[in-house]
Formats: sequence, structure tokens, C-alpha cells
Amino acid sequence: MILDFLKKLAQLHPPLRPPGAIDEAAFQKYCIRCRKCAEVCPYGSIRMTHGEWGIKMGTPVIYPRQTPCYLCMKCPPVCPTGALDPITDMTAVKMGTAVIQTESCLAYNGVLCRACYERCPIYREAITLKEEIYPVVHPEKCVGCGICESVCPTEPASITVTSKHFGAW
Amino acid sequence: MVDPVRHLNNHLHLYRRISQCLVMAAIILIPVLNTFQVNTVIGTFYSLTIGHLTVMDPALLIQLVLLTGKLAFPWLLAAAIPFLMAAFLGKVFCSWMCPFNLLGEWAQHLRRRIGKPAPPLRFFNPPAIRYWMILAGLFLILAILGIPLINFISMPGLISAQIADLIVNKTLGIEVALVFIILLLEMATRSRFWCKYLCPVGATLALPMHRHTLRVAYSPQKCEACTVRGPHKPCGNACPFHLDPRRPDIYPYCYNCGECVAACQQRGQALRLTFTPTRKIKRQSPARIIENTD
Repeated sequence: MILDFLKKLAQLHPPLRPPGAIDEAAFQKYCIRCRKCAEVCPYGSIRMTHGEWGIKMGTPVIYPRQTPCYLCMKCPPVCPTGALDPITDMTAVKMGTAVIQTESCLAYNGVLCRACYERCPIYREAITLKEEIYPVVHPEKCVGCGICESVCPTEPASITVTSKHFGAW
Repeated sequence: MVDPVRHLNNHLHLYRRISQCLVMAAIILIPVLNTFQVNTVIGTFYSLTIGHLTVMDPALLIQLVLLTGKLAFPWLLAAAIPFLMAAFLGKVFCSWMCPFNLLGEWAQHLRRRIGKPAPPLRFFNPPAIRYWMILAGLFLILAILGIPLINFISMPGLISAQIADLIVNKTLGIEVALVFIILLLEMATRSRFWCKYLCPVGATLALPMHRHTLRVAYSPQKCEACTVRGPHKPCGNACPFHLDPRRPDIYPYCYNCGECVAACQQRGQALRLTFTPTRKIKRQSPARIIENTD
């Protein structure tokens, strides 16, 4: 039971910051919690944290398994303080990196599945198929939008995005 | 022919309530429109973007400068709009727009109706230094701890952000409890202490006030027409902060709501809102007031 709990804890990833987010320590200081990024998001991907987050309350986060970032790039330019760098090129985004759990991934377990590969917005660059069957993530191309995590048919997802601010959370 | 100034003075309370309720409606309408992808107006009372115009709470500008050690030109522009408005009109944001003040005033009215009727409170104009010390103290705590304190205690920001979150994501954070705790404390103590002393948003807006800022002016000669004798004059009773508007030292506490002016309108019309600095009266009045009130 304890092992299960620890396993769960180990799999728990901090949520992602919206595209263009500067490094976590500076983000805390620049973000004025004005909600504009969340309000322009057409998909409702950006949520605001609440009191239980302590001094991070009111900051924008993305839970990719619920709603990933579709990289429409509407949020970075509306940030009034520069907590989000006003980038408009989606390949310049670096929110995190996707990681595949090969033990549970269907493709690695004899079932033909290309869900993540086919839906990846950096198509055929961030995720490629090894031997036409096995998905492989290329961290230098992966932007961390989390679309792969949201479409993964296994429960829990076999491909998850780790925030680039992982250590800072 | 109706004199517009007189008309305004007679209906100050009504117009102010309309303004406050319109702002409250906007707080609800903006996130609703946002969910339909109408993004002409986005943001909260922390920072609001209307078309291409971005407005930011000046208290947050100070917070940004203290936390990041930088000052960007767009921040200055965004904070300049409310700052200039306050330089002309005083803290009218607080009295005519702030959603928390509307809730606080309603709570104050409710408190007067429930429970035992309390003896009328004494009017008291606290020394201005107290106001500035509290503001400086808050910014000092913010700078030392390196936390975005203004975000956590800005009532208009908290209320607008939480309402937006409730409408868009159907969630409500526990931080909204702070709003209710302060409201209940204000009711319990019968004092609008948050807006009067503690709010850093209002205090920052009091910074640019100067001689020509809109202010409540008092003419002692006309005050004699007031038939109410004793310490509890209608003007002071009408003040949400229990200030004595017949004294010149109501600033920086007074937020130009005009309740005292409206109350005086039916009496001697000794109080009025004016841009003209009235230095002559400033020197006369303290002596007169002391014999009237105490």
C-alpha cells in the first residue's frame, strides 16, 4: 500500500505553465495573477491555482490530461508584465517534455496504437515511430503541449509531460 | 432650468450606486463574454485590457518594481491611467467602482438594521501619518518576504478574479474566504477599517492627491443653517468612515463618495465637492469645529 502511494507520488507531475512562461522563480514575481491568459484561451486549458497552492495561488497552470495546450499562441501576447514571453511561433515553446512509460504503452505491448504520434502538433518531429510501431519522443523538438497525454488511451496515461520547471515547483 | 451641479449633489448616492452596480455587472459580464470568445475586454481589477489599452493597478506596479527590481515602460503606461484619475478625482475608484466597498457599504447598512441599535459613533479623523505608515509597512513586508502580497489582499482583484473563475471554471478558491472574514469583522466592529486604514490599493491611489484634486470643501458660514445641533451632525453620520467632513484633515482617508455632501444638501449646503483649493477655509475651520463637536 505504501509502495503504491509512493509510486503514485513519483508519477505526480507538477502542472505545466502556459507557453512562453519564464523560469519558475521569476514567474512568481512577474505574474500579477490578472487571469488574462486564461480568459483568452479558447479551449479553457489554462486554469488558475487556488489558496491551497500557497504563494503560487492565482497563477496559471495547465493540466494536460484534462485539457492540453493546443498551441494557438493567444496567451503570451496578452501578458501585461512579461511573465509570459510574447512568443508567437509554436515551435519556440518549451513548456516541458513528454516521456513514454514503455511498460504500459500499448504500442510497446503488442497493440497497434499511434494516438500520440498522430496528434502531435510538431508532427513527425517531436514523436517519431521506430520501426513503424514504437513511438519515440525527441526532447529537443517536443514543446510539452500535452496533447499526447490527453489522447493516450491507457489509464493512467502512458505518455506524460514533465514541466520544464519540475525541480522548481 | 436645473443646475447640473445641484442636481448631481442631490442624487450623488443614486449615481454612485448605479456606477458601483454597473461595475459589478461588468465583473460578471466580462468572463461570460470571454467564454464566448469575445475578448475585447479581458482581465480583472489587477489588470484590465480594453481593446489595445492596458490598465494596471498602481499598487501592483510598486509590487512589480519591489519584487523584480525592474521598471518596464509598458507597466508605467498601464499604471498611469488609474494614477492620473486619482490625481484629478481622488480615491473615486474606491467609492464609485470597487466591488468590495459596495459589499462593505451594504454590510454596514445591514449591521445598522440588525441587533441592538448602537450609540452613534464619534467622528474621528485619524492622523494621516497612520495611513502612510500602514502602506509603507505592507510594501516593506512584501519586499522582505519577496511575496506578491498585493495580489493576496487586493479586495477588488480577489473578488473579480474569483467571480471570473466561478463563471469560467465553476471553481472557487479558499482565498475568497478572506473577503467574507473582512466583511464579518467590519460588521462586528462597526467600522469600515479595511477600506479606511488597511487597503493598499486605495492607499496607493491616495499618493498622487494634491491641492487641486477633487475634494470636499466646507463653508462654516453656511453650516450655521443646519438645524441639527450637538456632535452628531448629518454629514458625519452619513460618512461610511465616520470622518468629520467639516474638518480639512479628512484626507487621505476620505474617498470622495459624496455621502456627506448629499446629506448636507438638504441643510445648509455647507459641504461641496470642488477642484478649487480653499486655503482660507482651511485655516478657519479647525477652531470652529472644536467648539462644535467636542
